[in-house]
Amino acid sequence: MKNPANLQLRRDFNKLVCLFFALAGTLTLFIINPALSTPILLSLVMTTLLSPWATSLERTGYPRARAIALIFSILFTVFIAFGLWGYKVSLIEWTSLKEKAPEHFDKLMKIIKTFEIDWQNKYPIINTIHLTSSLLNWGGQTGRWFIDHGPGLMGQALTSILIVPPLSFVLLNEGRSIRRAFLQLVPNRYFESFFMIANEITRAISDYVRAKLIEAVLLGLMVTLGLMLIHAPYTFVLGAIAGITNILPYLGPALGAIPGLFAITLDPHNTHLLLSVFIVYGIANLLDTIVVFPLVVAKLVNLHPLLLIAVVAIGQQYYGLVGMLISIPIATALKVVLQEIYKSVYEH
Amino acid sequence: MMSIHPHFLWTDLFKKNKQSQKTVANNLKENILFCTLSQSELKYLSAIVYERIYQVNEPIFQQNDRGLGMYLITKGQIAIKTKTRRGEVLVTVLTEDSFFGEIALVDPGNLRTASAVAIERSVVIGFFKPDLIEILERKPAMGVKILFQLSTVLGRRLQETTEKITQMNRAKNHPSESKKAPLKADS
Repeated sequence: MKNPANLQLRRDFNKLVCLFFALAGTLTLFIINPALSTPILLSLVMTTLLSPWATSLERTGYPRARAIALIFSILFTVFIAFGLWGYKVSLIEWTSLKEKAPEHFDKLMKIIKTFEIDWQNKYPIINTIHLTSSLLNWGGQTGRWFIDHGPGLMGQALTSILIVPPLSFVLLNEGRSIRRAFLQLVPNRYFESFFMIANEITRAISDYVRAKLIEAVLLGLMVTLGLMLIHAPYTFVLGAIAGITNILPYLGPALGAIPGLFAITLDPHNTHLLLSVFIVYGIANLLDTIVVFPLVVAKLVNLHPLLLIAVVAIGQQYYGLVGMLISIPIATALKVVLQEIYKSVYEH
Repeated sequence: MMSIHPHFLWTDLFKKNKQSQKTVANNLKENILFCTLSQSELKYLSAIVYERIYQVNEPIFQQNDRGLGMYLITKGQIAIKTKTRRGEVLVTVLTEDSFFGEIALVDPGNLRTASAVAIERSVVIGFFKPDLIEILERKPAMGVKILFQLSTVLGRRLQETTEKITQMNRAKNHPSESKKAPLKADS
């Protein structure tokens, strides 16, 4: 007769193998196929953002699917109305920037060339470094890369626009069933622990993503309003760039300020605004650091500041900008897992 | 009468799914915690709970494990055991329609006070705290119904425990009195 304990172990092992393949398969599909992974990632972010709204509507008595449909209808209407207006404004700003870009570029190149000659005269040892030609070379290569990859990128963006809304709808409506199907694969002996950890990780990551998006929108608004107050050009474009880059921890605020400061420095009509623009970015980032971040993000990410810096640095070292972006949610998830292991080993 | 065991190719998968969901809903309806729920609420709950199968001698949870929720037995028998200095003690054997572990639904950082082990092949329905919280967020009226029933159960358990402790204390302090008059619960 077979030993029941061995049978149980074998059954648990089989279930663990199935769970591993289900998770690894999903992850592999995600990594191998960027055309699929980008819309899925965007859909997950959108789901995280819209989930509380759907829940609030459901609380008032709407069935889940109808609540989600209502939210999508409102978003679609707002997107069309404000999108058209925003498109017009951004197009004007973009056209102006595009018209002035060659002039700005020539001016920038002249400044760099003068600077290069001055320094080469002063320090002949750096004669071998040709800054202007290197920059032009890099610019040419980047331009060619965009020409080569442009259609592909446009296609990906279009695919995302088409896939993200229906995928988000499905995730919002059926997310629970998908999670339940995964959890049913977990062996009985680990079920409660796995359930607890999965729940905590989902909560931590969705809280973080939501907080970062709120922070990005607030910073974008602060920069836009600040630039509008000092009558600077390209307010919407620069505000949007500042908001988006702010999602990157530590490096984001500086990256977001660069386009604004460049645009002002190189435009002869707006050079007097340089200090004001600098102050706008400074105040917006200061408010973000001392008000928005502690109130919105830090409360949700319960990691020591030094650990945060280390985690972001490690993420940057291995996966660049994407690594910086995903390092904090991954660290939060790892912390949850380690806490649970610690509790089960030392406290119980 | 001959029992029917159709080949899996001939089974109506969609019908089967509906039937199994109906069974879960019926099992839930018969439980004191969920008996006040409407049909639509029971259907909603059926999609939330987890049906798990345990083999003979397989533990559902162990004493001192962190508890996350309650279990309702739909098939089989579950032994509740505790470990003492003198060894393992069998507290009770629970059968179909019984439930256990409900304190974990409301107690933060709950530790299981006993172990639950399947005596025979058993099917249980697990209902966990995060799901109760989600019900309270998404369908507060339904959540209140469950919580009200849960407090009734916990209240009754407390009453029974108080009764037993008082009875034991009286028996210890006044052995002659306790034999004469059986005790009434302090309510």
